[in-house]
Amino acid sequence: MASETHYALDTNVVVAATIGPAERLWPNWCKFDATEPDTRFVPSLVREEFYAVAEGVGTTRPGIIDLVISDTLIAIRLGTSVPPSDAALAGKGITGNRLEKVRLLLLDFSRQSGGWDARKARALLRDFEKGYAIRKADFFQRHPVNTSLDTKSCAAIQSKLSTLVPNGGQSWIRDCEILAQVNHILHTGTLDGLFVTEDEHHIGRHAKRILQFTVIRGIRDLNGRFY
Amino acid sequence: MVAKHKPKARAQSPNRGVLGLVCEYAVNALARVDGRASGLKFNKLVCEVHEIMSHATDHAFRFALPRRWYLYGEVVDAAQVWNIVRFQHPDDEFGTNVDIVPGGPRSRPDGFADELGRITKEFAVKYRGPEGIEPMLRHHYERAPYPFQRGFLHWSQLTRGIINGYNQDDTDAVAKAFTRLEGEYPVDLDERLTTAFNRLTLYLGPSVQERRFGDLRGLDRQERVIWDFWKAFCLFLSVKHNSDEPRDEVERFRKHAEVELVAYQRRLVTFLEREYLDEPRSAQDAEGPSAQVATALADGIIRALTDGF
Repeated sequence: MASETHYALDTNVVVAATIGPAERLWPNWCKFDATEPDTRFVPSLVREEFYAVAEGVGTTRPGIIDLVISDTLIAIRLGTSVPPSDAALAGKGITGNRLEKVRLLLLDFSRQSGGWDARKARALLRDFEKGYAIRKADFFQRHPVNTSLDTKSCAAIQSKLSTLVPNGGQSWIRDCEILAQVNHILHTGTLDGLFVTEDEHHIGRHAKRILQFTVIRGIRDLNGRFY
Repeated sequence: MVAKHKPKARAQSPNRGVLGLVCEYAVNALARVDGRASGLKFNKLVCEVHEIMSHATDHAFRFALPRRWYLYGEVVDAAQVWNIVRFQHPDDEFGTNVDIVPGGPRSRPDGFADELGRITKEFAVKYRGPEGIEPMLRHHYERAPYPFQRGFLHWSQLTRGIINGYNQDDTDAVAKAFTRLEGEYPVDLDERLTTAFNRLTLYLGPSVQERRFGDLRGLDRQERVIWDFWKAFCLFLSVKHNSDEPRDEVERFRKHAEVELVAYQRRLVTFLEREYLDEPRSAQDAEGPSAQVATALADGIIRALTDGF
């Protein structure tokens, strides 16, 4: 059976839709806000995973936010009168990317305080963590979890998501983006299972797997190529 | 007809009979002095005897003691001494009593019983009653592998003493005990615990340092959230610092610690978010200090997701 696809891209919204056998399940249009960084992960299970990785919850390694706050606090404790040296930080295992982030924050704190002040730096780090909590809460408020999964198809996707998400391989994030859209569509019932994506490279490599995981009918990139 | 299977015998530690006698003497000595053998004192007494006997010239006096560091110091592994003693409430390290299991293994090397009787009696008398608990723990914690453990004991005894009315409130002493905790934290135990501890202390710092005299409600709250961390910490502590434990038992500790760590992280994150959001908000909080760094971190998280799974 032939299928007809419509897609469009403007600066704010990627719109994707298709008409085909799957339209019984997802007959309409879906809007995917591409401008807000957080919504690269459409509100769904994936957003929980995003913050879980940020905070190390349920993972076998510390989260990024955890590490940045912890490393910076260690650095502030080390540098009571002057900022800590790289060697001192290396002695605490803070090197490479971790050191880079700590330095960025310490520099920012020094600038705000008009010079190095460990006490003020600590207060500013606390404000930083508070700001993170506020941004996270705001994001969750803008994108409430939809828990109205009630069809067998939804449950099947949910189940696949839950097994895929922690073990998705190198291109996990792209898969999640697509899976998240499927999940969102299943929640809202607004789209047939065909996606338009700007990431030709990834789709080229993983189309088969994504199709298998998502049970969508096909994928189309922005040049109109069908997978 | 269904065949009856005998339960599998547990692996027996060396000199199990000596351990049996030590436990029996410990229970009896404590019961004679306090009227009951509390699990807390029993654990410390048996560990004390073990420590003394491990230096005995007569090797017949030495024995293996399956134990691990936990909430109130070293504890004897109840699962490994099931046929010697029974902890009435094994999940309540502080409140449980201990009973002797009749018919358990016993052996009496020459001269051992006299020496054992002397040690157990001295201990029971020295740390008699509830007032003996504090000095007993301080003595016991001298052998703790981390200074942080001694720092925590000090913090805990100080704050609980104030909260329960045994000591006068002392904001400076509490602030100093908190600073000591921060300074002595063992960063090498588990990085996830370290980050959790640092996030917690970063939040608590101002409220501990600036607590008003007599604000026991605030102190109680601080003590509770730090205790919640301590519970997660001690699970990992027991994985790393245990003796004479079978390997599969340590693996069981590790699995349990991992499960509890996830639960603790969720509790901590929820707690911190709630507390930060309840604080007065300034216009700059979300977009002000270091907002650019925060945005850059989001990319870091994305990379971690992409590379790490």
